[in-house]
Amino acid sequence: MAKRPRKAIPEVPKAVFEKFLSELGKDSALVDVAARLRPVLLEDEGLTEPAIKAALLPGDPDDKSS
Amino acid sequence: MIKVLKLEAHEFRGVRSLTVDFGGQNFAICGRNGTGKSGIVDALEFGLTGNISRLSGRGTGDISLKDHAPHVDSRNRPDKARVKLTVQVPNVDTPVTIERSVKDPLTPTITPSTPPILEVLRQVALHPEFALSRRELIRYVISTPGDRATEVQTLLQLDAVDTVRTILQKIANACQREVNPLKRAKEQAHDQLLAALQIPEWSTARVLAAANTQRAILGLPPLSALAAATSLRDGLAGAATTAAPRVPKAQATADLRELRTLLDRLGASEAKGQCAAALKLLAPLASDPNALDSANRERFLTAALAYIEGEACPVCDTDWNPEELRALVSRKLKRFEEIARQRAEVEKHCEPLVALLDEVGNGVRTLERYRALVAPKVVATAAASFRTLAGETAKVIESLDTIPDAVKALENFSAVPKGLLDIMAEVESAVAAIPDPTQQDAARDYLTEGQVRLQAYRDAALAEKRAEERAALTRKVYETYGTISTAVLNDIYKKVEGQFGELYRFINRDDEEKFTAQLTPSLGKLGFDVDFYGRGFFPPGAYHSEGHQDGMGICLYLALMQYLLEDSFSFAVLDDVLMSVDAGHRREVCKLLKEKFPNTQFILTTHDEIWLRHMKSAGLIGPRAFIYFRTWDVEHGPTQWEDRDIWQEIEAEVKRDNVRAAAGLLRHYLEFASAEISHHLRAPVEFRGDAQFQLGDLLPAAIGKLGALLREGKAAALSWGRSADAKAIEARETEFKERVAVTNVEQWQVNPAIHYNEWASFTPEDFAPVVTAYRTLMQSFSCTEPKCLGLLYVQPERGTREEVRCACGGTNINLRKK
Repeated sequence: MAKRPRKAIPEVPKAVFEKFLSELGKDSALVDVAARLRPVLLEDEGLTEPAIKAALLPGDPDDKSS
Repeated sequence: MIKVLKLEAHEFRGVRSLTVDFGGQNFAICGRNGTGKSGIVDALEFGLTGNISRLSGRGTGDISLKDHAPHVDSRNRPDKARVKLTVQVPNVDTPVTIERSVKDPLTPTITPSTPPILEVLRQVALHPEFALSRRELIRYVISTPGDRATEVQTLLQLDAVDTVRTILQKIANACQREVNPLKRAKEQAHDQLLAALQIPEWSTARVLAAANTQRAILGLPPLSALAAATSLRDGLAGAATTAAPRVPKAQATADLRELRTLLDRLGASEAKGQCAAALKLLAPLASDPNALDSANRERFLTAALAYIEGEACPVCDTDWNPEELRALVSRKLKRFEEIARQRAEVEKHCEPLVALLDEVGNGVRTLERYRALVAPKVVATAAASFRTLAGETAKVIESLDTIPDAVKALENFSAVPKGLLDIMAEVESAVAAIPDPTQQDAARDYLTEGQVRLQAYRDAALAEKRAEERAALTRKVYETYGTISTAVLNDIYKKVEGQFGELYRFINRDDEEKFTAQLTPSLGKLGFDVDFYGRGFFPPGAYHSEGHQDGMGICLYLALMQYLLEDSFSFAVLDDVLMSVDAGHRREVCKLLKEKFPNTQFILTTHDEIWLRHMKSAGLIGPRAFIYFRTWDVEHGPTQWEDRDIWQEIEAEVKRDNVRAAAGLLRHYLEFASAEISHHLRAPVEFRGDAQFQLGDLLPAAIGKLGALLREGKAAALSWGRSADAKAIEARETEFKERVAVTNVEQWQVNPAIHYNEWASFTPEDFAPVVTAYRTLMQSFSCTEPKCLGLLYVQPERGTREEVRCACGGTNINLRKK
């Protein structure tokens, strides 16, 4: 099955994601998480659980997405 | 956004072929129910988005766009079902056309198709909520808080926000769930280590002291510190590790004692109490088929949610957008909130029982290990079976996947098979029979087993630490997301609440000028309370009338759209909304749309011609910016009262020798047109409470009024010394009188033809002059300019009459005398 392009992110969710990532970026322990989450939430990577999990827990032995 | 100039639909829904010129202006579509109004709404939505919400939303069952968007006679030819829209795109000089067929709805032909145009149209397609029906309107107002939140979230397109929240929560929960088993494993490793080292509690000093005592027996140097890599066996000859395994008597004795304690705990009062509490909660679920069904569905949907990852349903492989499918399953799950709560309660009681079973399983595994080493060999099938059973029991009561199985497992929780106890007794005897080891052997056993268990403890502690860190991180990310998204949404709702109140006060300023509202978001819900005449805040359905609720619905919708699209809110379709708003407030709604949204093109459908008149008289729509559907049939689709077509239709019936049909059409059209004329000219018509005015009530009044107005206009022109204008009006008056006279002569033929079913005695030759007479008469009530042809109307609509005019200004008769 061909991969369907993700729809553009509507205005309100985009505002929520931007502010969320900005807030994460203020916490030194979460700066890297924010950087990894940015393409998942705001670019064309798809809001899927494996993608978000890989951004939160890179190198996770249970992560089948990487 | 855009404005719609023209709609052309072919073989689409109930339409065979239809063209509507909106002209980029507000436009009304009027007609009784079943005359095809909604087909236009569907065509607009399809043209702009490639979808029809009412064919694809919830509750549509087996109805689908592909199968049911084409006209029923073209249902196997989706390529013939086509919609073409001509739209005005901001900052683009030429009109843009969008053409779609049902066969390939997502691949429109757009001309021209420059990137800026495509981007604008892509944005439009993102907002199917430009079309609002009364069914949707009501859901904003009188639905439950949960449903309202869903509606508002759909309009604000918050699905993605909710999807991410759900995923983050799921990840955080999964990480948290990993902690407890690892914590239990660490505690068990800790206990086993203490048992092996024969110390009562953990401290570095105690461990070192105990290990160094044994090391001294073997002549090994003492350990000075217990670092992460320290081995208790450090310096012990490697050969010892490769010697044939044997039973460390002291350790085995301690382990077997510990297992007996664990088995006793299975039947002790603490475990029995937890079992009883869990069973008490599970029993009603297990015995009630409905509750059991709900529990099963809740479990199924929860599991389904966990497996939605690809772009297809995890059950049937149907193609799905995962975000939409997840939202759908989540909505279904909301129905089982109570079941989920009960499940959580049961889980609390089961957690310590699962931990105990884990420990028992480990103890039995140790028993099996010793069983293999002792002599004579002990057959331990029952031990393995029990360990498997304990593992399965733990799994069943931990997951609660099958409630009847969980009930059975809890009922048999404390049962220990006699076979296991026999094996234990045999192994205990065998261990007791082992000769006591030498002091050196005992020291070697101590250090070897101690090191194995120390390493196991270190591994378990590290795994638990990592799990704790992962849980803390994912929890923090989830909580941050919750805080931020709630703050953003609260801000949005606060703005929408203010705007909503302003709009509602505008249409109800006569009696609710101090009206305010409260939108209160909470997890997954959106409370909505409104002020009721200063008596407090209540749900909209509590005290406000249905008409007021309709008003609230449209105000909330407009406030949300204004927030969402700001200056881009340039197009909206209001499909039969406001049907229960009273006449006074309808005018205010028209004013609201006209004054507060001057840059928005509204397409309004209504089955109520009074409402249509309000739109016209309030100036919300232009004099000709409407169509009036008179009938619909499956062969032809909707047909409208269009005076330029109706005469051709009547004449065609006469030519076909169908006088009956021609006379019926003539009378119905004259009734419709006379009502319009009477309204426009402010003609005095005998009032009827049921608003069922007939031709005899309307046409004489309309004729009399136009005659009077022409006389007034002539007198006014003379008073100003404008004799040329007076002559022109007189000529018009004379022509009008002649036309009336002709119809008076012929009128006797019309009424019998319709009322007394005497058409059989009429020939087309008899009836044709009647048609011509009325057609000519009707022209007297309209502007004669071909580009206009609009009905004459009196200005202003109320108060002293000032002029008779048409929309284009080609006719303008002053009524004010000098």
